[in-house]
Amino acid sequence: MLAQDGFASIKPITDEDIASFKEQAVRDIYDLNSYISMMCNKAASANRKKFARNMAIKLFYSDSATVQISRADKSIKTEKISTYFNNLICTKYSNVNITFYEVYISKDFKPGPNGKYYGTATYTQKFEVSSNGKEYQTNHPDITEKNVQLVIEPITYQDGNIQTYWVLKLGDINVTNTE
Amino acid sequence: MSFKYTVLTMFAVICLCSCSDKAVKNFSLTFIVTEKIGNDKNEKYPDFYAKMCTPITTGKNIEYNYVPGAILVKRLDIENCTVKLSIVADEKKSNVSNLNYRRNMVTKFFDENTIGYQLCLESGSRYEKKESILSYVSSLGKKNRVFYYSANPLNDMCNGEIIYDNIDTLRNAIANYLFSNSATNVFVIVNPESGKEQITKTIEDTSTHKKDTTSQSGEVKHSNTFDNPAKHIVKEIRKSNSDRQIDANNIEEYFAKIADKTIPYNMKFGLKTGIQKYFTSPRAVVIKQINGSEVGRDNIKDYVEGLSNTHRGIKIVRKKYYSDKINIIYIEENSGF
Repeated sequence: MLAQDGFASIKPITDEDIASFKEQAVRDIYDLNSYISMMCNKAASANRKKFARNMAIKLFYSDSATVQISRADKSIKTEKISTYFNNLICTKYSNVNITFYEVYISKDFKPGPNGKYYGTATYTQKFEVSSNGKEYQTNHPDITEKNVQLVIEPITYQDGNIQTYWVLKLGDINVTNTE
Repeated sequence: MSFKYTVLTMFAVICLCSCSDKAVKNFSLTFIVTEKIGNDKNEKYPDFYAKMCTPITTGKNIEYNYVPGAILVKRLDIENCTVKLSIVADEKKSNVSNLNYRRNMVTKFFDENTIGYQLCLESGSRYEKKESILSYVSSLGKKNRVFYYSANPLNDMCNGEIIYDNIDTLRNAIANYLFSNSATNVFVIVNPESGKEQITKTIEDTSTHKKDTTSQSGEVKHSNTFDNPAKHIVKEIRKSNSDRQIDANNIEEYFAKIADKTIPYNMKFGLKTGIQKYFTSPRAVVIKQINGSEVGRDNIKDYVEGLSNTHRGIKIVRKKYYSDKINIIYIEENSGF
């Protein structure tokens, strides 16, 4: 039996599953924070940073997912996550600290027309930089509220039998508010 | 993996563009192996050596061949072996501009001594036959670089370095490194995950052996030049060996220690490698659950790598076996924050 979208038969998502995916989404966002911290860590080896980058990219539905960054002049820049992570790894600052907190599901999962489920999580990001041990003097907003799109999508893989299962991925990250 | 290749490709292109008029003049390349590579003349050496060492020709005139100064294959399955090196000079060529020529490494295969085989250079325009090979190697430089290769690595990293699983990528990585570090000793450790203790011993032996041979021949004037870098490598690997002392007795303990925040990341290499023995392959499936609902899947190799960063507590819910090893494992994750 094939579903309308062409995937092999898959167990429908229950309310319990949705609840678990919500929890997983929050965990994934904290994981993303861990990986970003590692990418910014000047003491970490280049290879470990690359590992963190790869693991972070795996959290997203695609490496073409985008992230919005608020700039010093209040403008918002949109970058691919792969570019964003590369920039973090190569940051010019001697110390960068990015912390996520107040992570919550701001928009419940709802089925989309393509059979996937979409939701939104919101988190607050604190961005601190310093150079040579001194806090970097800038007008750059250091606290930003961001929305991250959440997608529950069916993945098919073949291991003797064709199996389809639901997986949660992060999507585009947008700035909603800056301080 | 794709990122690794992308970076290497970009790096190769940058090198090609910026360094097309330069040449890697000489270096030594040593393979440290943990496997048997053949005992008689009729036995072919494995594809790895063939692919690593087959020259790539372009038909253009070349000023310098991008070849190593010497290549030594050290077998770890025979102790107290004698290793001989030899190099055959090649004529000068001109107009170096092709990246492939930087990968022109070895053309000849010898089996002149008791350990079985050496891989030797046919090219090397800087080498004069009157000079002792050890003297030549000694003069190559003071820098060392260790690369890791495994056809089927259990982990992507070893001692903080990438374990290459593709010959061409490894060759390019070596060539690109040498392009900006023209005088160096390069070690390729083959299958590092299966013989790290032995590798340490071998590097020590290699150093000792070179000293002994030098004193017998009396031809080497600067033997200390070669000894110092070798000691540097031994020190590095000894350090990693001390890291590997962390072990676990069962799979639950492995997971717990990999996720343990108090254990430094660098000390988890042995754990991440060791846990693989319970699984059919690094691609064994991890099914992640929250409150009994499946929330995602991963392969065990990536999963333990992630766990070493995220520090989540986990509980094994169920295991499915194939030939006495775990093929699928169901894991309930606790909150890690």
